[in-house]
Amino acid sequence: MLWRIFHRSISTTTTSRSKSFTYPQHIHRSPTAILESLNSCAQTDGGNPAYLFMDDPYLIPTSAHEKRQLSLSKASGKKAARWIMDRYSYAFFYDVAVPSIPSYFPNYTFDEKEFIEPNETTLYKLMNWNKIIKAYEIYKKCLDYKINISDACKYALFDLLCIYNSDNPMEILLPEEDWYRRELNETNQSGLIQRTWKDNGLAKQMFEELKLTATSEQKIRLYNSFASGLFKYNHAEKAMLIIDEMKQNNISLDLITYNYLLRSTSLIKGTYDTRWQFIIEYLNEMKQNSIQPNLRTFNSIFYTLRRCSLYERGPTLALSLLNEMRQYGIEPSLGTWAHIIMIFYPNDQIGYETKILPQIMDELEKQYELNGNQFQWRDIDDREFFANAMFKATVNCREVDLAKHIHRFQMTGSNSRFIPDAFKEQMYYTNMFHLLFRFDIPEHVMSLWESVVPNIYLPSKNIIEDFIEFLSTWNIKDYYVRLWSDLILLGFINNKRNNRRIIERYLTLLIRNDQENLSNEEMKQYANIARQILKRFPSISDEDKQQIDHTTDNQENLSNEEIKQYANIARQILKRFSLTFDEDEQQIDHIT
Amino acid sequence: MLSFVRTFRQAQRSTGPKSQIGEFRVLQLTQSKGSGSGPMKKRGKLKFKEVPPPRYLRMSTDQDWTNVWPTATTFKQSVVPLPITQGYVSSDNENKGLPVEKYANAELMKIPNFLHLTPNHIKKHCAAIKKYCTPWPEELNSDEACEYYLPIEITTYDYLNSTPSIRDSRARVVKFQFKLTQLEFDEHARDKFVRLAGQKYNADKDELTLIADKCPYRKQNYDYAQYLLTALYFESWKTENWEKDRTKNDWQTYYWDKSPSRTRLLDILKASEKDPKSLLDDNKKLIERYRTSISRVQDEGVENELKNLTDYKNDVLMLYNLKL
Repeated sequence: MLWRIFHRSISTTTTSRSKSFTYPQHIHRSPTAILESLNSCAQTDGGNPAYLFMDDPYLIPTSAHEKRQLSLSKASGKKAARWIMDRYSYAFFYDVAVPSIPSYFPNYTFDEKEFIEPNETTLYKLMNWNKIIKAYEIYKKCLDYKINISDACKYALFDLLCIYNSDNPMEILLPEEDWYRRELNETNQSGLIQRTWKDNGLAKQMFEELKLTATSEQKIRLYNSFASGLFKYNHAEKAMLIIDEMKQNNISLDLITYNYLLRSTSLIKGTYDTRWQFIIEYLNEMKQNSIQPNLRTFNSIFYTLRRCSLYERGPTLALSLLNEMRQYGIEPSLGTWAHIIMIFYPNDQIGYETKILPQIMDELEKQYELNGNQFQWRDIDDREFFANAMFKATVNCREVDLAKHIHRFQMTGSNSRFIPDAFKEQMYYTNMFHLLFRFDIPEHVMSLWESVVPNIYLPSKNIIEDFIEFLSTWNIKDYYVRLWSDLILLGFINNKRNNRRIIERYLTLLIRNDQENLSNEEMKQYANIARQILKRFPSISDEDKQQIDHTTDNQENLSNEEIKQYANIARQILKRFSLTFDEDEQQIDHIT
Repeated sequence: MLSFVRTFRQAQRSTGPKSQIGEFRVLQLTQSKGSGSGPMKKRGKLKFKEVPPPRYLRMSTDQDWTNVWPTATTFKQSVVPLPITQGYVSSDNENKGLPVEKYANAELMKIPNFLHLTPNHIKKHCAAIKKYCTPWPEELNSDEACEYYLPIEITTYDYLNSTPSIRDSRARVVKFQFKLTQLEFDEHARDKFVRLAGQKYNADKDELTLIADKCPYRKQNYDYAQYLLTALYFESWKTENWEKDRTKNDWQTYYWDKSPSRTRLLDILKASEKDPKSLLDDNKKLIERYRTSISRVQDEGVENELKNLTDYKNDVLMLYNLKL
């Protein structure tokens, strides 16, 4: 109403103006869109330590042990804080935040006494708190006392039992812990497929019970959940029996069950051809029931193909599957490519001729740009992509450019989050550096090494040894002194038996051929190093020590004679060093 | 090369002789000579932590600074590769007369730095945000055009605090600003509007400003300001009964048509002439001049007072054919 009153003042200059004026179309953006686009401006820089750590020379952890200790201790601090908040929750109810932030509040603690009375709300509460076994007990009590529970509740409980294998779900680890999850989670470290389904567990009992009273619609849900749970925990035979039962009773399978079924084909059928027949059979069935496949379906089929290693038809089938995916309009995710890589390069020898890995990298870069320079997590298999790609690039293809291409791709944007834990990262970089040390020239390798070590990747012993060999092959003398400080920072100079080879190799490096051409400066530094070694591994007689102290005091005026003495000392050190180690083997104590 | 910094191992706790349960422990403030545990302990070896050299020594000259310093942080001397100094030394005794280096320089850490907004940063940020920007509409190519198309300016304020709470009571203020030429007025309405507006009207810019902050919420203030504007406008068009009681003393400008000067002039002229109809036609020009000069005298006040009064004098003389 207000705007109608406003009268357009007509002056001489406005005769050419249009009466109304349209705003340009507002470009829709989410509340955090600008932040995200600004975030994409910052790439990973190898010089910065991880955000978790304080950026100060004294406080940056440089060895693998320190880094792990620091991040796990931070996680431990968070857990301790959370424990205190939950234990003394009466002290933590003052709320400053508007709007209130629920995760900063103490968790509502589970008090046993509250849950004696068996009824439906109790069941829902327990399920929300992930206390599934207790929920099942209460459910039994409800049945005993003949209390009515709605079907929705019953089926929700059953679904949870299937998903979590009749057990309470594990607590979600903090991100710092999750990074080291492979070491923290002792079970199933090798990744083998083990049957973990609890036979005759609570799920089975509930299944039998609900089977009797289920309507046909409920039966669909019931059987599908049960079959999915069985497949998820790798009990394939029982699952197939259930599937047969479903077929007999004309119960239709849903997409999730199909996905699990396709993924577990390698457990059901033995030979590769039968597996493929099986897959085709079920795909046809899906088509008949007009169930649209999704990304998970295709990734499951790829997974099964991958488990048929050295299958001649494997690669062709994989390519035709890719075409099918494109026809359905489903973009292949990183997980798809990970499986394809493993299908095309089933072991160390085969596959080089196909040159599929470079093609995959090109394809990915195109996809990356199309997606607005970002990749999303679309499937759980995505986590294997980079490790697999680098593995095969270095072992099968042995192409330095390809490895660098993969590495560059991993460093762009936030792609580094597709390496989900420390073990995969170690694998990735170990493979890469193995290749580079053997086939590449120092200029490239040194810059790459310095961009990644020590903040992103902490090299293992083997890589360090290969590195020292690389340095000695290419005779990069300038780096020797720096290598010493790097070795100390990375924690390889201590009295542990594992590290002695490194120290030995380093010293052989130092006292190799041409020590006479060294400048004063370098001699001083080498003498310094020698002194440090002596300090750290002290079991030489006092006279020798005095001799060395005496000579190193006159460092300002080095004469040729003294230079020769230094060379001798370094050699002596080495000899003595091997001796001291033999002596010290009985009395190794931690000096660092 | 590395520099070594001492760290100390934890001090040993004193362990006195352990007592039996139930026995009353005797307070021991100092350890007596015999009760120490064995021969004198050698002081343990001090642990040294290897401190790596600062990072800027390893930075290449063609690195991308936008990745090294992506966000605003306090000044980190180990990351900035420049030899920056800050601090005043008053004599040669302080710091040997040299300017204070950046290592552990609290002053450099206290002040805000803009290392996160170098020209390269801004280029990158702009390129990233560009896709959300729309072009400036072509119709709005001058100030007058903006006024024409967008007559009213509504201003609201948002505040961001580094606290857990997102509320700020200053964000409730709403300001309406527009020029009175955008509204339709007749003379009485405009005059009344301006009088009603009072302080809120800026005569130099011919602009009305309504600031609403009575209510706790912005939306309420917005609605209130809208209501206020509507009420003002329609109220100014109404004429109350008591407005007719306006006297010459209340006039805001000199209305010649209603002035007693005019009636008296006409009386005088009528008295001097015989033909009443031709009065105004004959003396039109002179009356006009008289009118302008007396209006100026009355209206302009102190400004050109002397000039106006002399003009008035001349016009009056001309009118009555007098000569001084």
